[in-house]
Amino acid sequence: MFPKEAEIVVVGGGVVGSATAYFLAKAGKDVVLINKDNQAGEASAANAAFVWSITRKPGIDVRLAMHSFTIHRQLQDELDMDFEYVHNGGLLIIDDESQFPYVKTHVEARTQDGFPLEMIDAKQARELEPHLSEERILGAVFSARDGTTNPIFLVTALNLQAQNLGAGIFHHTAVTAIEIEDGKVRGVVTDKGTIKAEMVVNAAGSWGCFIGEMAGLKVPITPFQLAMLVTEQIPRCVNHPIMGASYMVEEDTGKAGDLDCGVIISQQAAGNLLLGASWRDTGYDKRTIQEEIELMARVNVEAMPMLRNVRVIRSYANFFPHTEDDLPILGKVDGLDGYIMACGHNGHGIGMGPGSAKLIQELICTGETSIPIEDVNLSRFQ
Amino acid sequence: MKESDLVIIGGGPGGVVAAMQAAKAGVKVTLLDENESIGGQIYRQLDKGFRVSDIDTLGSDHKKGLELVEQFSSMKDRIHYLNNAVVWGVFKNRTVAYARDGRSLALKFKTLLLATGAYDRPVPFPGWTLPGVFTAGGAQRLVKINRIFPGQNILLAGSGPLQLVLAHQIIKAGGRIVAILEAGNIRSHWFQGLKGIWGNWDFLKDGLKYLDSIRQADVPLLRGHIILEAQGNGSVEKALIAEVDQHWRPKPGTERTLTTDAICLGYGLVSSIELTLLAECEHGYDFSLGGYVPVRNENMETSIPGIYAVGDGAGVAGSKVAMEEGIIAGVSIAHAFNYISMNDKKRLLTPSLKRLKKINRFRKVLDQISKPRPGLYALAKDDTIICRCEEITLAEIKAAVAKGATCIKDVKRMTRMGMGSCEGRMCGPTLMEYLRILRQVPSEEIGLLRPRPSIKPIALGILAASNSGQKQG
Repeated sequence: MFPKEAEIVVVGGGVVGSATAYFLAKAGKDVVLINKDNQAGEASAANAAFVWSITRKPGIDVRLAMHSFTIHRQLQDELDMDFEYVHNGGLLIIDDESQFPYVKTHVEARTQDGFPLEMIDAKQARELEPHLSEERILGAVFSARDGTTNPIFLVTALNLQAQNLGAGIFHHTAVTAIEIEDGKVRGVVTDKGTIKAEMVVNAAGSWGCFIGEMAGLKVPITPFQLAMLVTEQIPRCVNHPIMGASYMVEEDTGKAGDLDCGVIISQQAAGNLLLGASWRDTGYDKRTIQEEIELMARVNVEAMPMLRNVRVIRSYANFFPHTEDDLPILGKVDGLDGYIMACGHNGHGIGMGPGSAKLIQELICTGETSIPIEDVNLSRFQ
Repeated sequence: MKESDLVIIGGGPGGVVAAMQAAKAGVKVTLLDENESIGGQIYRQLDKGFRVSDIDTLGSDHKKGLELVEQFSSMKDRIHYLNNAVVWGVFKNRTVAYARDGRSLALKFKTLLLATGAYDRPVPFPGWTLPGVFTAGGAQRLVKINRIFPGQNILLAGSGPLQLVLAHQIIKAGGRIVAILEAGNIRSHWFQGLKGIWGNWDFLKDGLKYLDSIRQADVPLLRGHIILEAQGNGSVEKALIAEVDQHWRPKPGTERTLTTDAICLGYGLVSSIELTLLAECEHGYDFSLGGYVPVRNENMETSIPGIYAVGDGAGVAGSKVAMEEGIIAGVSIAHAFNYISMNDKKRLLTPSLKRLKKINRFRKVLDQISKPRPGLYALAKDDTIICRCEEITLAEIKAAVAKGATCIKDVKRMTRMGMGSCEGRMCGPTLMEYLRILRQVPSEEIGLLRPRPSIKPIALGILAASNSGQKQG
């Protein structure tokens, strides 16, 4: 039965929406989750599987990431279904001299902010990841707390448990309008019926701008395509999530829309390697192209020559919800009672999403959050 | 990048005939073939080094194949033929990506013809993952090409007359068959009744001869029988079989055991639609044609202008249909390029259209015989593995449905089913049937597994060794 009313409607069935529904249901709230596609239909199913902090910037960014690490571990204890979360550290690898200044500045700034990172040399990097190229890798940054997860299982586990706790979960259901009266949310209209509700959470990721528009809000999120490769299953050979330091340079120079690629390597519990990542501005087109598949192969084989003989079985792409300052949009909306933002995680939704979701639940249930989120309010763009 | 008027993928009868027809008219054709030489699965040529002492063993397919090879070689200066080319993607900028000689390459096309063939319908039952269980196609390849028998005491299980071809080849080559299980419950003389079909169904031209050789070799042909279970410690030792009713459900009390070390399964074929799906052609569901197949117009053109599909890959119908479709597509493409007039097109197509019409009449009868019945999908037990790559059991699929999975994509997300190296080729068709049965809904609601490039496993080193993948800037 499709519900006629609910205390809270969460829009979006990715990691943020599912975790929000889970925490709210756990807190005894009457919550309904509306999702336009399959569960974990979009970026939450097609990403690098990183639970990652190394490239998070000092300030609110790294605080949100670290808080989310705690929540991931909490979920690991709480959820019935195992989601293969491993947290034995992550590596940012340096393969070009020009990356050092960016990396050093970042490491210093993080250390000053109280979230230190460890610079290691090439030999130490290769001790951690023996298959890294001896010729190419010049050094690395190590963070002991980073790790990987199985994003699809994580979202599935959250969905199932939320459902068990009484949340109404409706996949393949599209939100078509949000009813507002006197500056207050009154309900959510979907293609399966209207739900009377005085609170709605916009957890629609790259589609968050449209769910904003329905309430007359300008949510400055644009989709940015990130593509990855999946290999056949092979015995364990990669122990940590590995990212190329070129991403640091890119983050400082701004992302151009042209095809480009940096190293991303991780290995799932089943043995498949996830390799990436190339990015392009494609609008909402998630088809991969030959050039990017071959480029990803080349970049990653250079970083880890043993990959040469490993076979690719498919590619995938999705959009990370991009905001101008690379930070998510969380919290209440000025002048619109009952509308709560929880999207725009810029490609770090899997890592940061559960933490954000917990904060949103706290905000809804108590009016306060264990980490102040004023800095990432939607109002910062106005 | 090189550009062809017409790129054809697949060197089986459909692709080869289309290539010759189009090239004859003046179209610049490139034919990409995954195999060493043309012929596809049906006309697969012998490995180098084998001499044929008894051409009969190989049957008339082999002779037909040689004829095709001869015709094709007489045109080799007009068709750009690339063997051992594994196509791994088709992209919206009208390029085909393929791996050859250790490198990844790209080819631009103005028109594309997909002639990708079919593969054996996978049917899970307890023990089907034991070493010693073969698909009929795989076993045929072993016997015909490599001259190796799958076992000492071979059991054939399946439905439809294609099994008889394999039986004949095994017997003629000197192999021993324990029994042939035919799930179909047609009256005992159905082979005779279908005499007319042999001539129209290329595989079966020698149908009666096959029946003869089976009889002479004293091989029991058990009609209305099915395999329930393959048993053995580490590999196949025994098979549990039973009589079935018209729905292919086992009759209680008829179970018995046969001693065998190799089981060959031939429950018909399903179309290889990875490339038509990747090319975003519209597909329709037709169970007797092998599940989802691309929708085509009378020119064999799919819903995407300039992309054509012929042969078993566009609906399982045998090599004879594939060749007629190849002619139609080849001529239509030549006409589209203005190499032949409308009148010439009509003249060239009339005989093919006539022959197709005739074949199609018989097709319906044949489909009725070999069409899998519901009992086939009731063989798996809860602990039977359905997805071999990810080792997902039937119980896990049922659990996913109980937890709210409504379509193939949901089951994939919840269980990893279909995410292995075969990209769902082995489990996709079965999962579709299970979901249809478990949920009692039409196929359209179940959806299908959408392939994403690379559609075949390709080594990273091959992908990296390409011209197009150069990092910019």
